[in-house]
Amino acid sequence: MKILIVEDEPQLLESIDSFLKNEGFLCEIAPSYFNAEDKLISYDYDVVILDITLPDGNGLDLLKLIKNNNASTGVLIVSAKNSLDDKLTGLDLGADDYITKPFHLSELNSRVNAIIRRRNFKGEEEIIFNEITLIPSAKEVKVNGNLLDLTKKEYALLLYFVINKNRVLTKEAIVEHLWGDNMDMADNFDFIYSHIKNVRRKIEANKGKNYLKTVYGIGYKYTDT
Amino acid sequence: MKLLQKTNRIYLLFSGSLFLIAGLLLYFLITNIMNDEVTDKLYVEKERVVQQLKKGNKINSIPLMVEIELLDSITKETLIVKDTNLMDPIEKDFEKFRELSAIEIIDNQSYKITLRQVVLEPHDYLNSIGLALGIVFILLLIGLLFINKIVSKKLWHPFYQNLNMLKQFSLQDTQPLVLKDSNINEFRELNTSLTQLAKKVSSDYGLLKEFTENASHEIQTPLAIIQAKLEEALQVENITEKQLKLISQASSSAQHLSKLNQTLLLLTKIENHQYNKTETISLKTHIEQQLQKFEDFIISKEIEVNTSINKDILLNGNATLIEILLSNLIGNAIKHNINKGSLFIELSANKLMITNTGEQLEVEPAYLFERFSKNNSASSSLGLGLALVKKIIEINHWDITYQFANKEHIITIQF
Repeated sequence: MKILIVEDEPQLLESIDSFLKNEGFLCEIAPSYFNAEDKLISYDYDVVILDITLPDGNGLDLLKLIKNNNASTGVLIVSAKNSLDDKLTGLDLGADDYITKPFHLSELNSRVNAIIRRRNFKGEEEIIFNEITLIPSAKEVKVNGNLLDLTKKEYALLLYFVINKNRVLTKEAIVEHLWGDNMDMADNFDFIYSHIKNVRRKIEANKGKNYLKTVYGIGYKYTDT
Repeated sequence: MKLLQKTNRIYLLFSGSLFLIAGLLLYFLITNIMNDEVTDKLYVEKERVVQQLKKGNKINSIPLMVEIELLDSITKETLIVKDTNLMDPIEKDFEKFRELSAIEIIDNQSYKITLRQVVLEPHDYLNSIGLALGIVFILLLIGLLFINKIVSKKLWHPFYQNLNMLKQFSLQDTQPLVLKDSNINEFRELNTSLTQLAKKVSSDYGLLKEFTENASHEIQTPLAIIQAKLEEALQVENITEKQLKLISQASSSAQHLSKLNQTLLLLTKIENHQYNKTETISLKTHIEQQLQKFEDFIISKEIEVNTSINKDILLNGNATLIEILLSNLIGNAIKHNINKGSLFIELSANKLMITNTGEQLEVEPAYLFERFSKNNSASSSLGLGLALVKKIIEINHWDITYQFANKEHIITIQF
């Protein structure tokens, strides 16, 4: 999977780059409009992570360029503006998704993975984690071949954990992923626990292992090590 | 007090004193002149009497007016003028007379000549003076009132018109302040100054707005970096529990800051009328959507939700704003609810009522809708939710009220 990261802020660029490389992606970076344009004309990418506010040009123009060159490239817009207009314009121009700064890297990872699933495999890919198999197109989960009866939220939770396996995920990041970022509802995050408990119970009922480790006071980590 | 009233009052006070002075002057002058005249007359008459006597003519006395007496012995000539009150037998009243009594020696005979003239009593003409001046003063008053009415109607008209425009002037409107021109120098000068001031304030406000927006956006990038770096730090292997906790706390604060920033930006945008795209909105649909969105929280708190939606309300408004409004109100009703509490949403004619159980607020209801007014200052909430609600209510010209009764919070919106 080849990803181009267009971001003018070097610190953020570095973080995203090292994070995605760590996730096993092939990453290239473009710190400016000019640089990005150059790379986009020369190479094909599976996904472009595109910051639309660049000092030397409008990211939306790059989006048009991408769509003209290779329509199968997935685009994730990154913006400092949490503005509906920008979002709609971006999506109208063919972007796959839109993420607002600041974001959790795990969230970025989930979005990139979702784009890849939708674009390259038309949703027919299976995500396999030991005895657990997720089928995103059907939103189904099988453990040891047995279909789990999960609610929408439970499925999303498990998918998020599997995609971001081996990472410490904070409760805030999980809540934001599942309930959106308008949720300053959560004075405490206890209610996540009931969902987590349900997922675990359903997996264990089918003789699956519990891979979810509690990181005390912070969140969870999904890992088999 | 109006300026006109004030100047009028001063004018009237001044002209009143002038009238008083004029009256006194008139009185003294007239009294003086009459006194002199009466005395002169007596002297002249005395001369006339003396001349007649010298000619040997006999003069008959007229009681009170002319009295001539032949004295037995020759005495020294004297002349006395004085005022005296005497009974007038005809008028049957005491009258004031000026009396000249002289002793003249004519042809070796001494005559006592007493002449009298009625002196006009001062109060007789004092009243007349007062009356005349009073009438003139009243005429002046009526005239002033009349002129003022015309003046305030004609001359001050542009002033009041401009005052009205100033009252309606709002920085949030993009329309510039246009004042009515006047041919009066002072007003024109005022208009010029005001127009310039408004222009300056508008441009300053615009700059400030722009700065706020830019600053908000600029803050998001470093926040994104902080967020990313902290998340990376979380993944470092062999990290201690203490370090994990520190990183996670820093990360929470960074997120809090970011949300605060976004919400303030949202408030600014609403204030700037950037959400002006309107469409017909079904409140019923939006309420149901919100309840669905909060489903997990409702279940987790075991809140009993009831709705009474007799008739859907169709509003003309901005969908995003309506969503923010309902999300905040319904969210609050769940967040600040007690476990196993209740939530009741009633939609009727032109009213939305959200009633929920909960603890009594520590914050004064009057400050409830203010920015950063939080019931519990330690809570992680931003304290901006109800400020957002209020702003949305304001720009739509709706009405919102809050009540607390029987351990229930009641929010009512009147559309």
